[in-house]
Amino acid sequence: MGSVIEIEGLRKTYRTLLHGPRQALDGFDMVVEPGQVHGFLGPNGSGKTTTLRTLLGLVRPGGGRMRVLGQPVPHALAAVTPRIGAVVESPQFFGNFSGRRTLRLLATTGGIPHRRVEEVLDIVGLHGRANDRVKAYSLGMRQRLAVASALLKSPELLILDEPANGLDPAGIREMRDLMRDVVAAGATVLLSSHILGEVQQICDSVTIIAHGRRVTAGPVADVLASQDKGEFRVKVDDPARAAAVLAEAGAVVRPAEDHLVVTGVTDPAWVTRTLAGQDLWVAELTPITPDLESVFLQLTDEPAVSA
Amino acid sequence: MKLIRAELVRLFARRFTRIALVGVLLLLAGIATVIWITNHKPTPADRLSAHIAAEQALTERNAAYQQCVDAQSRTPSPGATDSGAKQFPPGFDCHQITDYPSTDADFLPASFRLAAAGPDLFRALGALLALFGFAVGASFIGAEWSSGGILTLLLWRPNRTPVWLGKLGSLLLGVLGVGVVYSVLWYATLWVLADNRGSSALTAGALRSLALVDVRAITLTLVAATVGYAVSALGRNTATALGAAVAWVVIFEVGTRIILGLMNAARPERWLLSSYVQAWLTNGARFFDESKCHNGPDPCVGVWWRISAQQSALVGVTLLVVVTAVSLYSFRRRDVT
Ligand SMILES: Nc1ncnc2c1ncn2[C@@H]1O[C@H](COP(=O)(O)OP(=O)(O)OP(=O)(O)O)[C@@H](O)[C@H]1O
Ligand SMILES: [Mg+2]
Repeated sequence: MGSVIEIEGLRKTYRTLLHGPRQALDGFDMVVEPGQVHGFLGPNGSGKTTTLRTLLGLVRPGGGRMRVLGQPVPHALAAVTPRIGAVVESPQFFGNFSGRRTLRLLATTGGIPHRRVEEVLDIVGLHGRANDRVKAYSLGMRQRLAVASALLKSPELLILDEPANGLDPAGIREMRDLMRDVVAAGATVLLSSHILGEVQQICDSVTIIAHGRRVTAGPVADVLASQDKGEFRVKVDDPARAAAVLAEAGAVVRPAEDHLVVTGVTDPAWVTRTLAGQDLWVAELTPITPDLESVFLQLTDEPAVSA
Repeated sequence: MKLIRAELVRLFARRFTRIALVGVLLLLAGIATVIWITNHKPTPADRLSAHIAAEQALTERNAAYQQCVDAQSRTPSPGATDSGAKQFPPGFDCHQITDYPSTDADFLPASFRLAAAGPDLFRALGALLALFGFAVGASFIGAEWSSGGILTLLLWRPNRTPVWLGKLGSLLLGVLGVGVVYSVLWYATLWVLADNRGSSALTAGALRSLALVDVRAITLTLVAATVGYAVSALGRNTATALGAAVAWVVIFEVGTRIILGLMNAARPERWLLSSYVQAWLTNGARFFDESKCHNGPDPCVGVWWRISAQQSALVGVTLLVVVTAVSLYSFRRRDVT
């Protein structure tokens, strides 16, 4: 089975009458493999929502090629949309209808039995409020309704643009479980989010975008490893002497508040051995592995919102 | 088909539609109430007193006629005070007095005759339904745009032309249904009114022409709904269509009328959409052109001219084609953000 999403050289320039053109995507590439939760990260205004909208046929691309579920889009969109569930940024619904009615109308449009409406209401935990008007929903409840509408089709590909927006901690955890369930059922999830801890926990792979271009992509572990500079945190009784010893032995040492940061070492045992040879006893030695947040900030270093 | 079914449900589930339906109903009820109050079926006593009054009027008129003839035949003598000569100046055509003899009917209390009043009342229904169609059509897609409903719908139905047409189709089906139901209700109401407050007698021909008026009224309603829908879709909110309607009234009906009046333009009505609406509802309308009146020393030589129903249809179809084409094109092309 091929990739679920393949994007090559996607371009998009928004043209507005008043403010002139604004380039949102500048040759963006992305590949999402099946059966994964794929994280889609990038600073504000980097083009995530634009990418997702283009993929879904809401926005007309300015160039590039896209394939979703093996079909070229937007050409074959009609064939693939029944298999894609999507929540686009800050979803909204007609305020005077109840959540249940909103979903039922969609189900009728899509030829889905109304039984499924009750199922998805259960999944997102909206059953108790299903007959309330959407206008009276909280932000998080609207978000849940949006997810419910995306799940209605029992999609093979679930696209979620900031689904955690407005969700409470329990909601975020439910969302995580939900994504796991979806993937366990054989589907693929593309998740755009700013909650990097969440992404790191749940995602198998990520794509990071900045200024409309891909800056890195791959399995989360690989992305993290790519930024691993082999740093260790070393705590000793006499940091000054230890620093001198290690530096003499060929390591790069940077003193920090109450410890030393040692770089350019492949084997941590070497540090222990070297220091022990000089009667310096290591109290603590931990590798500094980058987390997604630091990688993200490193890769998207420039100011997020630039002119 | 599934789309049309869902959209029909949506149309009638909307509060705006329901309020508008009730609003039209209340206005119709108001008209019916006024008819009920102001009309009466003549009683035998009414008929008798009307007959007496008519007889009396006839006698008075004959007397006046005689006076007139006398006054005309006499040559006016200077100094003579002759009341007849004052009342009827020389050269007065005495037959004018007897030209329109009054009948008993002139002295009866107002009564509601379906055959006579029906067409106008069905035109009133048409005007109300057209307003209803326009507003409901505009809000049907306008509110969906501004609430994000269209975006969600496009995630289910990415082909935009069928979405636009399907939604319009459901709207027109719904409005047609309302038009038919309200026409039947209106006919029943008018019949009951006429039966109690006048005469409900209707010849087959009169009934047929009433039905034709109704067909025209419903056609107008469908056109209004389509235009409201298309303009609202173009602007992506309801306010655009309502704004366009207000702008049309202010600029094209009132403003243009004033300017054309100042310019003393010939046949100003031909530039006003309302004339075509009127001509459509009345199966052709006559207008008096008095622009020539002010031009020379000669007395006014105004002319009557007509807008035919066919011309109205042509104007309507043109408007419809242009508005829907632009709206659909924009719906297909523009980004949904
Ligand atoms: N409708 C629009 N008209 C003009 N420019 C737009 C429009 N939508 C987005 N943009 C611009 O395109 C760029 C990318 O926006 P996009 O919404 O894709 O960013 P994003 O990655 O989703 O950001 P965020 O994390 O804030 O959601 C931004 O510079 C934005 O200003
Ligand atoms: Mg976004």
